[in-house]
Amino acid sequence: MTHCSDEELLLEYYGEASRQAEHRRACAECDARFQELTATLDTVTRTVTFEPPERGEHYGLEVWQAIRHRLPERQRSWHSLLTPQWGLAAAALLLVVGFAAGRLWPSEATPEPQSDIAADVPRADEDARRRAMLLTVSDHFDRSDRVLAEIMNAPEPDALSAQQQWAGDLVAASRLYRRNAIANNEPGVAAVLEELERVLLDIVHQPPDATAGDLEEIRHRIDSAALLFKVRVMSNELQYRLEQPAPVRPTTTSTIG
Amino acid sequence: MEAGDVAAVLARASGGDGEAFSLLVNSHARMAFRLAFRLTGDERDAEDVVQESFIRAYRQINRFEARSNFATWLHRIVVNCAMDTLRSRHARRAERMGEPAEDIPDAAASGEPSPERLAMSTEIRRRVDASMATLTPRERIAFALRHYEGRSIDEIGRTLGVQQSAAKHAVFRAVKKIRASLEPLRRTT
Repeated sequence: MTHCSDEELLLEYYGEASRQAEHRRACAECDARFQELTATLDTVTRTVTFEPPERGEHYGLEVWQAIRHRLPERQRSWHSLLTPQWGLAAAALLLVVGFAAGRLWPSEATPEPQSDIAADVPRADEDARRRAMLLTVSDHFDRSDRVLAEIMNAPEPDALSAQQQWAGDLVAASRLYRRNAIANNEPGVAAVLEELERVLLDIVHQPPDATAGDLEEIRHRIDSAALLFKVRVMSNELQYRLEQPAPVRPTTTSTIG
Repeated sequence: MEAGDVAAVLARASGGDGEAFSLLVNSHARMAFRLAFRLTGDERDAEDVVQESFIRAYRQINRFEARSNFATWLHRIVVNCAMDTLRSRHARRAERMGEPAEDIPDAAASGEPSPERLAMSTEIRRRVDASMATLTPRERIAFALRHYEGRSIDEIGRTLGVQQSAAKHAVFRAVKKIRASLEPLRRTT
């Protein structure tokens, strides 16, 4: 009689096909070895769990923030430019180019070139304006984050009506900031503001007696657009840019990317 | 994120759209961490493995085939990164052979078991941890995938890029070493 090998017993323990399973059940010796193996491995499972420490809901964001500056530069393919966000960026770029062309095109009476010092003054003004704008928008994203998080974590649909007034205030501000962002050549900021605005409007338009289904639908919209994530990334990005000592440059691409 | 969304996001990410890639990171990071922790058994190593895995995924995203499953593809990258981490850990340990082993945290102390049971659990854990440290990176990964992740031998072979028989033997050798480390305890009970 050929007894089961240790390998056969282990395969059976793990539920993998074992040619000797039938023999093991009929043979007291092999069965005893199998029981011993089972007891040992079950003890290992119970005692050494390797249960991972829990990671919070912001973990994806943390990982992204840790790696985003380490990602290699990649050439964007032409078809990836055909997204609404890039359309917005292109439109903003055209506006800026048009504006610059209007200012720089030589006229008949070409003015005297300004000195470097004179040129620095408006540049400093522009930087201060951009910083103020980014600071305001960053604060706006933080407030929106709180409203969205309240809705995502709300146990009852009542929470929707509790957030409607806040959402209404934020919609009006969002529109203003989006126009400002486009004018300041910040298409990435404008794109997130636009998505945020659409969801905030949905929240505002919910009936006063919103049901659990309404709440779920709004949550699905926030979740499927990864809006909370985008708002947080953008808020962090703006804070990062504001902390830099150098003048705050506009970003020509989405700052999430 | 649903399958259709993943496909659309992947198409954008492979076109160099960083925003799209950030969505993939967001939806898969926790899964990657759980796997990395089980493979390495160390929180800090697991964090490094997660970050490195996403960077590799970004670099190789053009090689990802649209009909495949992104989570499965990422799973393989995490396993390979964990393997590299374990290899360098193995090499570092070999360099400082003779140094005393680090204290093992008492993870069995929860749930207020009896002092005898607590002592036994601690001893089992100490012995299993010590024997896990003697496993080769391939044995450790193969064992973790089989024992803790419930992957079949066939899947393990494909993930590690080795023959099924090699994967099977890696699991066998790991179990043999762990059983040997617990043998003295069995004799005392």
